[in-house]
Amino acid sequence: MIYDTNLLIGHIRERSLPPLQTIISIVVVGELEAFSLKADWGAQKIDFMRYLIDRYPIGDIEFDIIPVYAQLDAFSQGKLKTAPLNYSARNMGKNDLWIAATALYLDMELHTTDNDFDRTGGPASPNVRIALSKALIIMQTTLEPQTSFEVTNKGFYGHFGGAFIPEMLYPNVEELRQNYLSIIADPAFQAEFWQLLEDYVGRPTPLFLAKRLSAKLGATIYLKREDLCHTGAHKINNTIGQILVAQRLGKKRIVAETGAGQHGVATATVCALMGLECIVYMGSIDMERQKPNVDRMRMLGATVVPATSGSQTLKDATNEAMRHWINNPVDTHYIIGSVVGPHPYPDMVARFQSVISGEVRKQLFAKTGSSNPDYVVACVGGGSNAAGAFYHYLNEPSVRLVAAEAAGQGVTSGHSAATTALGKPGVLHGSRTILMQTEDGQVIEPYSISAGLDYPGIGPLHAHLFESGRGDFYAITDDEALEAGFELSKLEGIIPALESAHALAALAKMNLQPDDVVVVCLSGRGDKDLSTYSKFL
Amino acid sequence: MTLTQNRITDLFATKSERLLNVYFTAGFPYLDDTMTVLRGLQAAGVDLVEIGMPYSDPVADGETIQHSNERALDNGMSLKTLFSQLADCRSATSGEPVTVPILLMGYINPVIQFGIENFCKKCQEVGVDGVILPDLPLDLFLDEYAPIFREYGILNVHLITPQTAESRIRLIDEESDGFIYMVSSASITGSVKGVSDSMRTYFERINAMNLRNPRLIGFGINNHETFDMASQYANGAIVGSAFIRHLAEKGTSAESIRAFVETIRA
Ligand SMILES: Cc1ncc(COP(=O)(O)O)c(C=O)c1O
Repeated sequence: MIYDTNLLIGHIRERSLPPLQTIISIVVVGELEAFSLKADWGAQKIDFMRYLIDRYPIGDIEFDIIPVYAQLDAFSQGKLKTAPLNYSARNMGKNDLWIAATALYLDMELHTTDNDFDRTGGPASPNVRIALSKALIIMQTTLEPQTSFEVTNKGFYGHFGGAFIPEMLYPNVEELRQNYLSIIADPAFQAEFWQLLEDYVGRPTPLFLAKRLSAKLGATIYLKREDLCHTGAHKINNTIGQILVAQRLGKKRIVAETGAGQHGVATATVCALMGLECIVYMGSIDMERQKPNVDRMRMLGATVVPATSGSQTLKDATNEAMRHWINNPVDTHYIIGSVVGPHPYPDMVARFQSVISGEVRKQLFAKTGSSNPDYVVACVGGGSNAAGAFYHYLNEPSVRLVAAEAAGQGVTSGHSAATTALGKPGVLHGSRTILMQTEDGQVIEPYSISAGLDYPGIGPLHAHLFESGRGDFYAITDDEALEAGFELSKLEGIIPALESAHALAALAKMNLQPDDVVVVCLSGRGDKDLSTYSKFL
Repeated sequence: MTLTQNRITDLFATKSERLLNVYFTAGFPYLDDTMTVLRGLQAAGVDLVEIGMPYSDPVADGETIQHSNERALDNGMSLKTLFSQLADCRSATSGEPVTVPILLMGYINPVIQFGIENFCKKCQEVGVDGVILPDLPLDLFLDEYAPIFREYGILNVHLITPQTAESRIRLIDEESDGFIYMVSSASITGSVKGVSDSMRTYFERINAMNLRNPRLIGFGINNHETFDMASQYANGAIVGSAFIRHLAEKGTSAESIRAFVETIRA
């Protein structure tokens, strides 16, 4: 589709990106540059504009567009003999005509909110008519309120998100909010980020056709092998991004929370890589059940501090990390491990994790000739691997997004972490989202066999996917996850993390059809869970 | 915004020095201690009282207040119970009427679940004058909640910290009524950082801004010296964790509370 200038200005204002398939006409580029001068945009906004322009193919004015332009121009003034206008002629802006001609020539939809294009409707030569009526239809549909999955500049996804933080955290979070987009857009940042993902993390991770699993389930199942990332899970995509942001903000120390220890290990790893001090808070109960990860973090030079308050698990570790940040506001950066927390964290983490679906699109295209599967499936603790796996498909309604939550011993057992099934809207760790809570608004301690899914909330993007119906949410019990973990091990020779096993277990519930193509995000490897698995051998 | 009648604004209209605001957690140490402690503080002559609404995840609070919150929740404290405990506190039906200005302090989620409007209405009914909700940020408050608070005459007290930018302090001053809560240092409650030169510089900087609103300094005020020091730079101070520790150790009797207040004021 072709995006008109007005829509792109909207995106630049909100620091958000248009859909992946967008093409930008060279004329629009000119209009944007001119607009930025006339409106006296600041350097950050201009940087973002150029970053945005850089990311999309440019629709040049080629020789073949000229006849289309000529016809359109004549037609809009009622002077095209072969296609007379049946309403009053009007002089349309010439730039608008070039943009419409580019759309027409490329046979693409023109997305605009500018009703100048309205005038180009009506009978014309078939060729002209198709493009113009397309332009018209698209114009009308874009004017209707549409569900957006991009974050607003106040940090909301629909009703969810925002930054519910005490004033003590405001300067830190605001500093991050004002800078993260321009830092990420900086070419030097991009170069370093991608280089590290390639050489250090080992990206791209393979997209593996799981033949025996496919045969068993009666559909085509691909596994996105995030388990092959350095440190054994997707978490490092985010910590690499955030450590580079922290360096550019001049921070000297990193604080993080961890549940299963995967995010803690990924944080300790990048801190070792960059020579920054690292403090990881971990619930004292989790420190016991994930002992090997505690040792890994210590070996990497991190200080692991037990969170002894409350229920002594992930939510309390998060509270402690936030308290630490309040006490050390100037020199410390808090690396949150999922798409949770106050804005801009959910958006920033989703951007870093979006490498997952960015790769899937290309890999799937190479393997099947289409970049879109029928389903993308991922487990949701806070939701970072899911956000990354969904990211480039959010605006592709033909791709169903499937989230697997941990039902623990069963949704109604009183020992569960199935947030959307059990939760209500509220505020947790700085954002409005869906969370498990009592009638009085006290946070309920979740339970799951998998420490990484043992969280009482979900990221605000996922709350929005749930509320808007864009995502399908399944609750997977401990037993179902264990079974799926053993099954994958035997069928494909891959031992999945217990978290990822929840995503695999969702497959059996999805009523898959033989021609369905499914991508499952295999978020991590199962080594850390061996002590749990071994109880069931 | 203009409020017709509010005990907090009335108080600051008549007194502007060495005001003492004491925090305690509702339902701590025992569920029925809320009124006992409230009356004890009034009898001991404190100027304002801040009643904590316990929450499971109080991120801006240190260990002492966290534990008092946990204990109060274990005791069965909830907003509903708190409002019923406070129900007739302003009338003389059950003993001496409570006249001291009351603030409720807590986190936004329980308030959202209770219903913002319902909450403000209940505050008005029982005679609560203001609230402190640290995790309700200023812009969200102004966008969504301010008109409701205004309708029921409930003040919302905002915090500033050493890191708060001058322009933001001006905005907060503009949007505040009652007083501004000056957080003494970059910290959670109950910190024992003591009084440093950088704190004094911060206090002086804020003094020089000639804000419209009076200011109380809180966080780390735990004895006579820190109260005195805070009172030099602001209209008074807020004591929290130290009082919670005192209640836990010395009990909730009127004498115990009076003794505590006397050591602070000395
Ligand atoms: C392997 C793995 N998958 C998934 C998760 C859940 O986190 P998220 O929902 O943010 O992807 C974790 C968290 O520790 C994990 O280690």
